[in-house]
Amino acid sequence: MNCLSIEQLVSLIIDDAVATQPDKRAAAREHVRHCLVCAAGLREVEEDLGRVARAHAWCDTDHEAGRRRMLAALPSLEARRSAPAKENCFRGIRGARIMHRMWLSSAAAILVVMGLFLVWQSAASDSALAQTAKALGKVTSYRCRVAGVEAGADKDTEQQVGVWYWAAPGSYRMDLHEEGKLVRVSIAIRGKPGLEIDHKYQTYQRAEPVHQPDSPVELFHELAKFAGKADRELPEREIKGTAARGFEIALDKIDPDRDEGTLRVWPDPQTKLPLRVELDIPDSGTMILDDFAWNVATDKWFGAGPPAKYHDETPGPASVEEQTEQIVRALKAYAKYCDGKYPQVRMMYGDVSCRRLFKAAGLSNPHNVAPREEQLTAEYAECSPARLGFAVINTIQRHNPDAAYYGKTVGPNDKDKVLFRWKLADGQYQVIFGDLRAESVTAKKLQEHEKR
Amino acid sequence: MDDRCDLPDDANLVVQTLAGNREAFGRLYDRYARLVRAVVLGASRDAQLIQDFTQDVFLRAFRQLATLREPKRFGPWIVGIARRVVRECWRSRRAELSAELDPTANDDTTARLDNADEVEHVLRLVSRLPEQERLAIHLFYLTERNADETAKVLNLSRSGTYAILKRACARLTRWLRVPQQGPGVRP
Repeated sequence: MNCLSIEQLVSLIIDDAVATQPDKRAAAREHVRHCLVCAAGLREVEEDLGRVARAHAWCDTDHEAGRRRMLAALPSLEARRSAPAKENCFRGIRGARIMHRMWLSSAAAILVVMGLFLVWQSAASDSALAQTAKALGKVTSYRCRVAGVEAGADKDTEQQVGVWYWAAPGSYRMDLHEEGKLVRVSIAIRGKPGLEIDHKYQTYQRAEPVHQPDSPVELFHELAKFAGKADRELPEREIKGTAARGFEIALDKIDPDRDEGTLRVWPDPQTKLPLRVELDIPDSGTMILDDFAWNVATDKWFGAGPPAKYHDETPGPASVEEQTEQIVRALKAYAKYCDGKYPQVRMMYGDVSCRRLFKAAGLSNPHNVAPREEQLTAEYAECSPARLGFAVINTIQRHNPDAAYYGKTVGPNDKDKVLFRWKLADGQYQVIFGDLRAESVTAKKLQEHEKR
Repeated sequence: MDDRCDLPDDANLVVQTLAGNREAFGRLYDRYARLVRAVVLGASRDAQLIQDFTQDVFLRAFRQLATLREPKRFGPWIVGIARRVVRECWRSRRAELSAELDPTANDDTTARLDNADEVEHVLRLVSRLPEQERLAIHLFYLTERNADETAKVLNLSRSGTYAILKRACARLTRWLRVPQQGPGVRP
């Protein structure tokens, strides 16, 4: 055997750790044993790589102090998204997302109200609510103040305050304020790219166009099934100088896909348009909408671009394989713990489905409790990542006009039926079947599958 | 980069962090802070600054965690953030850093690395390796030569990881034997 090259000498050292090619290593070791040059070379390489190892040992420097410092800095980051204090849906990163969804739900609530009025108009054309419907039917835009109140807190202790803008046929903007300063702007434009600007950290993210959003508009379809009767009348109260009578209704009566919750509305007796809306979500809090301005000019609402010098933090696109894997994992966990069924909804709301899954698996609420060590069970490990999968479905439904989820009619035993599908950039459709098989198919093939 | 199999994996820790568990993020820090420090060493030789950069990287990661599409890829993802921090640092502080790197500069008031010259020299040579080799070397030596963990973060097979490590070590060995090729001179 010839003398060994540096690569071969390195192999002898690295091989000890990696343990590959044992035959070659034995032969090389045998050579080194009898060759003084290679023996010296090996010692030299060992010394060189020892230097590399020792240099890396430096990276342990002040680890514990750095860890404490980093963790101590996290609350201030969390605070930018949420109010401090007890854990609820307004907290942390998840809080920001859920908050966002609650804001959307709140806006949806407004349109629910409009829809209610429309339904009631046909049911009882001489009612005061029916008169309001006429005015609401003409609404093309509105702006209102939105505030969040923690569960159990006094309604006067608003935690986050913002302004919500909506314009037909389904574009919206949300401005979030902290201590009187504008800190975040989210713009979603129907059919066009949107934008999220973080003024506090001077960053922005571009968003895909909204096609099938958490949209208020979408709720009109659900309203057709709604009986149009409030659960109870609310006593008269004064709202900014106007005495108004209100009503209350369970949110899931209007759209069963949504959270459990209660909607309360106080319409203006003169204009018949809502003066104040409250949306209660159990264990989470209350969203309050007031200071409405109806049919206002929208030309300055959606045109903002990213401010100069702000950093672009737009995440890269996820691969279809990644998305499919996350979706399948979530649906599999759900079926396992929820009587062999997938979420029986038309529009997937990640936090709603995840809460149902956690409840079925006997786990604490996924959003309200940070798991302690003893809670990190196999069930938790299985259910926790499901939130991501449900969120992926929701995102696809909102941004992909050709997405459809059939959890209401398709279960794990419907192995060849389409459970979820969406259109890919190449014109093919990604399909997940009832048995959670996934396949990319042509539009024609999809039609055949959906006839089954 | 804890190799105890009974501990939650990165994906689980990411999910727990998103669920509000800050200690889970502390565990991610335990796993990856050393690697991040090795990467940001390219931005400064000042120990305090390196800690600051490391903290910055983790706080950015925390802020952007909800955008991480594949939680099990937290390792490569945070390395990407660290590299961005280094690039930004070089762009915005080029003049200042040039002074820092001047071996004749007198900065006694600045906290310096222990054994700074040797550590800096070696890690700077590592930083000049091609990206994948550099990451492989950092991971390998920061995980007590755990090839499996290295392969996992690199998303490569064991044999593929081995080939990269072998190539990188051979390159480093050659560079380390050329003392005149110090910092600032690309071997």
